[in-house]
Amino acid sequence: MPEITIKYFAALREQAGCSEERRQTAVASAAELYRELQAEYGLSLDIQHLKVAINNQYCPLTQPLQNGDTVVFIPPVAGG
Amino acid sequence: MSDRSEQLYYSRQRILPEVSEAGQARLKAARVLVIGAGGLGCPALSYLAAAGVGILGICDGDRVALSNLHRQTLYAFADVGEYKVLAAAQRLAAANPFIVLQTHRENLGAANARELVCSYDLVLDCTDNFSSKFLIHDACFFEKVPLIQASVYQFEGQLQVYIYQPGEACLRCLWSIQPTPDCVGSCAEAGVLGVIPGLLGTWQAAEALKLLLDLPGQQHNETLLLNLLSNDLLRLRQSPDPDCPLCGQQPQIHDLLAAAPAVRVPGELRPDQLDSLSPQQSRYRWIDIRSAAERAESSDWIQHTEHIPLEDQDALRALAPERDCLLFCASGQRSAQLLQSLRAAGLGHVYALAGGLQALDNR
Repeated sequence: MPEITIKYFAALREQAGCSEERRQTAVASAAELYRELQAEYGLSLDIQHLKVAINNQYCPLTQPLQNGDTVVFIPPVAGG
Repeated sequence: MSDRSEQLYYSRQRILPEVSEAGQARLKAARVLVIGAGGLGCPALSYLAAAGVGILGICDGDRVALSNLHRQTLYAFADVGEYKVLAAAQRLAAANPFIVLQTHRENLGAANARELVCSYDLVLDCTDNFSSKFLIHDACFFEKVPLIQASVYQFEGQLQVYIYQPGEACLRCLWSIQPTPDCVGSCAEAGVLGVIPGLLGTWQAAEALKLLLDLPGQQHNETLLLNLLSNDLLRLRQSPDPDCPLCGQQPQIHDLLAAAPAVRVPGELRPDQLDSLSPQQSRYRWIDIRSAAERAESSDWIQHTEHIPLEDQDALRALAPERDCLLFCASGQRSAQLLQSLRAAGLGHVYALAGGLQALDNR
């Protein structure tokens, strides 16, 4: 199975309980990956509130995942 | 103060070949506006003033509160209760007598945002809420004034530079509509380590100086993402979106959107929609949902309102339907979120103050 690195920021980091993890997954896209993580960690943010970057490039949530990809889910942040 | 003193003041940065006499003159000729004199604004203002930005604008309608001091390092203990723009200008003028400080204490809204930003060469967004961030961004887009924007959350921060040239992405290329307040916490709600806005505000000042001095390595078309707990520093590349509602091929946004504070949730009321701004005379039952600590720092009239902190969900869910209730917090974020959940639970007599106490202060 492909291995993916996931980095968590803001509320997602709090809920996942870590800043980064590696996981083997059979999911096809970033959106499917988020749903898998949501089910596992009970992530409260709806996917429509998130952006995703794969290998440091923002991309659509439908983007297919490849072995070795680094995926960052980014919630909106406004504090100052 | 002599020219010689001014020369000496900047001597350590002027000896950099990238700055030199010409660069220092550029800084002196520059007009930079910092919006928000809080956790991000304090370090940004300090370094821009010290670097010799000739005209430095400070825009903020808030007063210094005790809970600001752990991260808003321009202010002294004795400044609590003073307008931030006044305390900041005093401190900065004392630090550098060779620059001009302009203070803007007015409420930033759709009516004045474009006019305010267009008299500056560069804007730093150091505010703490989505309404302000989108308003400032759109105003800078329409006036073609470059914008350096930062946001923080607990141990993390994000920074973007928008220069509004062809081929450049804007905020709405990524977030076409303003996120609702319920999808993220505020500093008051989620907490923040003081050094995080300190780092990000300093970084904003650094990007500002790079832009003004035309130094290499300027950020654009990317988000800088810093996580202090993992020491991760990511640079996420962003492409312009041809379907962007603001800068795309067929834009749908042609001017600033409705006046701030925006009403985003059914049941949110702007100050001008209320029957009275005095809780005693209002037909609404005013309820402060902030923490006891926040409330203790507030004006006297607030002490006479009812207090049911956000944590006391049982009491909030049991609000009697005989009188309409008006929930309020500091910026309107928590009250809007609570309003949504109470309305979803069937409490149709509950309302929330859009923009929170800040919106009242700014009137």
